Amino acid sequence: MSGVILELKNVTKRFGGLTAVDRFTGYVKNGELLGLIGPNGAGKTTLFNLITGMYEPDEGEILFSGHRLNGLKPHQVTRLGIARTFQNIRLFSDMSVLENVMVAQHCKLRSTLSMFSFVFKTPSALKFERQVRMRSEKLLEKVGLLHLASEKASALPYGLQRKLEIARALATEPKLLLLDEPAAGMNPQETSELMVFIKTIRDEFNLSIIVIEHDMKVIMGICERIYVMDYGKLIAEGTPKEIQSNPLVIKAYLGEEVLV
Amino acid sequence: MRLTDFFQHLVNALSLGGIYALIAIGYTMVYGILRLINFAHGDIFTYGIYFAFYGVSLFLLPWWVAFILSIFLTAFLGALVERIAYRPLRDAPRISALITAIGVSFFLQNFATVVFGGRAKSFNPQTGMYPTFFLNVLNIAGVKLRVLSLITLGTIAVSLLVLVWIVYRTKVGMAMRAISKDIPTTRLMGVNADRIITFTFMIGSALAAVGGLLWAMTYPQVYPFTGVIPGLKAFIAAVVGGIGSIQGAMVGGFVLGISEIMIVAFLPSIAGYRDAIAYAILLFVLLVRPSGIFGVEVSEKV
Amino acid sequence: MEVRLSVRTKIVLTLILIFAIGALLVLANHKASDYVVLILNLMAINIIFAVSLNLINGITGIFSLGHAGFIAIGAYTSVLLTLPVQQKEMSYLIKPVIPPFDRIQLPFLPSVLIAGLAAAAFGYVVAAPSLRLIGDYLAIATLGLGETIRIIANNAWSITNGALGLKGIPQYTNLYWSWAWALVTVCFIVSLVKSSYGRALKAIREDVIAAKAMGINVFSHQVMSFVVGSFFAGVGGALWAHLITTIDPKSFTFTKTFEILIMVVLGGLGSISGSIIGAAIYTVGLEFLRILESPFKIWFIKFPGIPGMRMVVLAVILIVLMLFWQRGIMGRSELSWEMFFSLFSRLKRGGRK
Repeated sequence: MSGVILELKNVTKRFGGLTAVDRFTGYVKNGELLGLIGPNGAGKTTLFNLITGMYEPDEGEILFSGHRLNGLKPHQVTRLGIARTFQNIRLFSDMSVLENVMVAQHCKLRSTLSMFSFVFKTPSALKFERQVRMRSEKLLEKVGLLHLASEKASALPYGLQRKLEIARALATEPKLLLLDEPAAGMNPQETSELMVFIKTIRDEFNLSIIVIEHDMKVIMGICERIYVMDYGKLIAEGTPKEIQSNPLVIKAYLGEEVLV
Repeated sequence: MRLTDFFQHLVNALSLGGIYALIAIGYTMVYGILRLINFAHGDIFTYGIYFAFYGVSLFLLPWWVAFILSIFLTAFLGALVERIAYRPLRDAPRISALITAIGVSFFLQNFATVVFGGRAKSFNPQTGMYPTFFLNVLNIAGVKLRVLSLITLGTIAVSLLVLVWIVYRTKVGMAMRAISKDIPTTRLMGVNADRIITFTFMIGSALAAVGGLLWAMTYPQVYPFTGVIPGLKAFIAAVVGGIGSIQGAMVGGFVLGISEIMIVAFLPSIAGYRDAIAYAILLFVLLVRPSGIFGVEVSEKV
Repeated sequence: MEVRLSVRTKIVLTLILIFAIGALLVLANHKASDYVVLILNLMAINIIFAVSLNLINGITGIFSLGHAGFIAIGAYTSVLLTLPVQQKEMSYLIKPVIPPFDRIQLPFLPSVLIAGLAAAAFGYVVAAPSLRLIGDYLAIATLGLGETIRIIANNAWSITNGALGLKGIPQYTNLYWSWAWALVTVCFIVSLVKSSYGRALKAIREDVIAAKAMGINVFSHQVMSFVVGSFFAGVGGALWAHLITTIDPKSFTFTKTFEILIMVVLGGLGSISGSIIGAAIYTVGLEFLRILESPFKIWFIKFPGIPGMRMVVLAVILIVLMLFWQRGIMGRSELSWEMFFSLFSRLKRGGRK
C-alpha cells in the first residue's frame, strides 16, 4: 500500500501460555494520528514493544516503509526512524534536560566518526558536537523547555518530564512516533495543552503518530483513526465517532452489552 | 582407576559437595530475601572454625561443647553483621550494599589477621579439637574410608534435613519464603520482617559454621583467609543452582564438589587449575542459563 | 553566584596547572627522599587504576570486579618484554620461558603500550560473554574472571614463572613516566566522557532500555568502555611492575580490585576528578595508616604496633563511607574551574559577613 508508513500483518506474541498479541493486523498512514486503546492488559504496550524491537514477533510481519522489522534490535529500529516514549517515564534522571535530548542524537553518528575522533577532538567530531548541541537547543526551544536546559531531568515537575521524554524521542529525528500514555497523571489543563502539543509536533515535524491512551478526551480529540484491542486481539477499527458507538468496544470496557 | 579408588573419590566428592551446599544455602537465602550477595559469608565460615579452635585451645572446653558453642556464636555473628552493616542499607542502591558487603568481608579477614594472627593454626585431634577415632580408617569392601568421612556425610545429611524442615514445616520458614517473594506485603500480613531477616542470617551462618567445622577436620588448618575460596565456590554453587533457590544451592553445591574432585581425579595433570574449575562451570552456566538450574527467569518489564 | 569562564580561559588555566604539577615533579625528583618519590609514583599509578575502573563502573554502570586481572595481564606482558634475556634464563627455573620472549627485549615505552593492548585485547574477548549478564551476576562473573587470570598466572610456568613470580625487573618507572601516563589516561578518559560517547555511556548507566530506544547500541558501547578501561588498567600494571621490581600472582588478588574500588567510591562513583582525589587520598592515607603498624603514642598512652591494622581501618572506613556517605567526595559531579572560583569568591565574601 502506498501512503502507508507502518504495516502489521498477523503479528502474534506469546509469553508462555499467554497470547499477549493475537494476530494483529493494521497499518498507519503517512502523517496520520492514530489512536490505540483498550482495557488494561489488552496488549497495547506489547504491540509498541514489538514494533520497536524490544520483543520479536512469534508470528507475522512488521513492515516500516517496506523494511521488515522482525528480529531487528531496538537501536536499529530507532535508526530506521521509529521513536517512542514509555508508560512509566524513563528519562535519564541524573543527566540534564539538554543532555537527555543530546544523547538521543548520538545515533546520528556516521560510522566514519569513531570514538577516537571524539577523544582527539578532530574537526569533524567537533562539528558533530556543535550540530548536536544546536539541534538540541532548537528542539528544546520549540517545545518550550530551553530555559530548563541545565536542570537535572529528575528535578522537573511531572508534566514537564513527560514533555521532555517526547522531546527526547523527537531528537532521534523519527518518521513515526509512538506515545505510550502521554497524558497519564495530568490534570485537565495539562491534558488540553498536551493535545495541542501533539497535533503541533505532528505538523511541524512531519510525523506519523500512534498514541496509546486511557484518557478518552485525548483520543477522541486528536486521533483521526482508532484501533481497539482486547485480550491481544483487534476488536474494532474506525473513526472516533464510529468507535464511540461500537457495542464491542463498550462491552470490552464495561464488560457487558449496552443497548445504545 | 580401580573401583575402590573411584568410591573413595566419590565419598570425598560428596563430602566436599555437601560442605559447599551448606555454605551455599546461606548465600542463596540472603540473596532470595535481600537481593544481596553476602560477600562476608565465606568469612563467617572462617570464624566458625576459629570459635571452635579457641573454645578448645583457650577455654579448654570439650570438643563437642566448643563445636556447639561455635555454631551459636557464628549465628550470632551473622546476625550482628546484618544488623550493623546491611539493615541500614536496605533501601539503598544495590551497588552500595554490595560494596558494603565487600567491606565487611575485608574487615573480617583483616580483623582475624590482627586478632588471631596471620599464621595458620592447626586443627587436629592431638590438641583436642576432635576425637582421634575420627581419623580411624575403616575398610568397607575394600574401600578405605575414614570415620570422619562418614561423620561428614551424616552431618551434612542431618543439617540439610533440619533446614528443609525449618523452611517448609515451620511458621518461621513460611515467613522466610514469603519475604523472599515480597517484603512490603509480608509486612502488611503482620510479619516482623526485620526479625525474620535476622533469623535467616542466623540460620545461614549456623550452617556455614557446621560446614566450617567439617572442613577444618578434613583440611586441618585455619588461617584468616580459609573461607575465601570455599566461600567463592559456594557462591558459584548457589548461582549454578539458581540463586534464591534452596534446592538449587544444595544441588549446585554437590555439582561443584563432585566436579572438582572427579575432574582432578581423572585428570591429575590439571590439579593446579583445580580452583578454576568452579569458575569454568560458572562461566558455562552464565552463558547457557544464567538463572541457574532451579532459577526463575527474571526479565525487566518494559 | 554563577561564574562563567570561556573555554579558552579554562584551557589556559588547565595548562598552567599541568605545568605547575610538572614543575613540582621535577623538584621532587631532585630534592625529595626516595620514600616520597615512591609514594608519588604510586599515586600516579593509583590514579590510572582508579580512573580506568571508574570509566567502567561509575560512568557506564558496569559493575566489574575483575580489574586486578587486567592489571596482571599488563604487568606480566610488559615484564616479559623488558626483562633482559639472561635474567629470564635465570628466573625461569621450572620451565623455560616460551618463545619469542626468550629472545626479545624491548624498551619501556613500547612494552607499556603492548601491555595495555594485551589487556585491552583480553578485555575485548571476555566482554562479549560477560556483558550478557546484569548487575550481581556480572559482578560475580568478573570477579571469577580476575581470579581465573590469577590462577592461570600461578600455573603457567613457562609464561609467568608460576608461583615463583618474576624478580629483578628493571626499575624504569620514574615520576615522569608515571605522571605522564596518568595525564594521558585522565585526558583520554575525560575527553571521552565529555563527548557524545560519554553521554551515551551515562545513558546506558541510567537506563539501559531507554538507551536502546534512543538508538544507542548498548552492547557495543559497553564493550568499548570495558576495552578502554582494561587498556589503561594494563598500562597501570606495567608501570607498577617496573616500580616495585618484583611481581607474583599473589599481587593480583581480589584485594587489589578492592583497594581500587575504595579509591573510586571515596572520590565518588561516576566522577573522574573524584577518582583522582580518591586515589591521592588513598595512597597518602595508606601510608599514614602504616603508623598504626609500629608502636605510636597518643599523648602519653603508648599503643603497640599491630601489623595488619591498616587494612582493618581501611575496611571500617569503607563500611562507614557506604553507610553514611555513599556519594563520596564528588558524588557524580566533576571538578571544574567554575567550581573553584565560585568557592573562592564565596570564601572571600564569607569573611566579610
